[in-house]
Amino acid sequence: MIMARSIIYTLLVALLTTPLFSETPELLMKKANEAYIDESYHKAIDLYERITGMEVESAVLYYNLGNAYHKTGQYAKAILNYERALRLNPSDDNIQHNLRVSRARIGDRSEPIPRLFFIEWHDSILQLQSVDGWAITAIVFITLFSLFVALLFIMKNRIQKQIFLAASVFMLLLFLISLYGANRQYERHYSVREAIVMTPRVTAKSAPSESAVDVFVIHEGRKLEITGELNDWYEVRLPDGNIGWIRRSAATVI
Amino acid sequence: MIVSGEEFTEGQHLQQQDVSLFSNEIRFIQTQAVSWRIQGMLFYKSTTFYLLLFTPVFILIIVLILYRRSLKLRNDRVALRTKRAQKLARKRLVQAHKFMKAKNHQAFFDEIFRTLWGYVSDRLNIPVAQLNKKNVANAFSVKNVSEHLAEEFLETLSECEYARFAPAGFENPMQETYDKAMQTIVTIEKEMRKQSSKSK
Repeated sequence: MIMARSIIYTLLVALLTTPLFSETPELLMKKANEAYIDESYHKAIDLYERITGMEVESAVLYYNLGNAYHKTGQYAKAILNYERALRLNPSDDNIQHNLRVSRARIGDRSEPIPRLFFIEWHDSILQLQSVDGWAITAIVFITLFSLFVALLFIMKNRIQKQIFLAASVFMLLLFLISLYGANRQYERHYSVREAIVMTPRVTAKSAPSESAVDVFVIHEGRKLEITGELNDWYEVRLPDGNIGWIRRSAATVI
Repeated sequence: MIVSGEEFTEGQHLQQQDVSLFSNEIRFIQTQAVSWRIQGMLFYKSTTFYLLLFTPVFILIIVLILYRRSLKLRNDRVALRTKRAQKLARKRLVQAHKFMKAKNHQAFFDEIFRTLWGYVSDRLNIPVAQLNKKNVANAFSVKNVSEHLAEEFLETLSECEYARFAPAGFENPMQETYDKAMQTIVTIEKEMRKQSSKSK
């Protein structure tokens, strides 16, 4: 995959660095960061958004863009970009911090429900890496596992055999943990679609129609789970389990 | 893990009066070099991912199969040589017995000599080019054949060597050498079989 991806990158970089596309993500990033440092945040936003239009992404891009939106008071967009950054780099402390600050600005002081300590541990270990981070780790460990098993069979000495047996069991365990991590992160972020509310106040309806009964009101910057869609409407679910329909334009998918 | 900014500062203030945190402000942007990826492209569950996941296991299985096969082949070859050692020794002793009956000294000792060398070469898996008394003694001790027996074997070998070139009338009695050669081979066979069954 590293090879396949590096080929794609090389092609991409080659494509983007040709005179026809004189704006490379690197160049735009540099300009945008300079604009941010100069405190011309609107200009920075414009430049960062031009990079997102190039079909490339990175945790740093989303983080910086989130900062620029935060500085201009567009907290919902800031939250959206911090959430996107966290998907690519879940363990980053700066992203987590700024997301909390942005949420606090729009009055979202909802704290996570206290949970049992081992669930906390489980989640903090899971958040060490992104989906692909765990996937790469899994491949590293399965390779080491195979290597140790081969050595286990080839070694004649009993002590050596025992060492390699222990090592291969350990590697198998780490492999399974990594695979589990990749799968959980995938389920959490990719098999479930999440969105951030973009308009200050949205009234969710009981059906995808303006004439339907109001179910609940939700404010800018809140996270929703998208459970279905019809024409111009999203069926969304709140963390407390309430389900309603909102206009597509009212929320942006993370 | 996630603590709201306000709560964090309050906790800090209680313990560290000298540090005032204004954590309701965001942290600065990151300006280091960025590694780019294609939007929405996931490595997990991609074909490359599965390929890389199964390749090490696949290689492992192939390596183990090849290893097992080479091990079996080697064991078979050794077993074959062992079998041949006994068969050949028996055949040559029969031939030597014929020479003894015909009172052909020269041919008799020659045959016994070749019987013994051929036997150890096949039985102990020593290439003919490396056949000498020292190697044979070493090989015997590795295979846990008793020292006394190894000595007896080499002694018989020496006897034959001398007898081959001894002038007429001074030769060892053929029957004695014949019995000794046969006896050592039979005893060595017995001991080695005992050893191999013990090691299994």
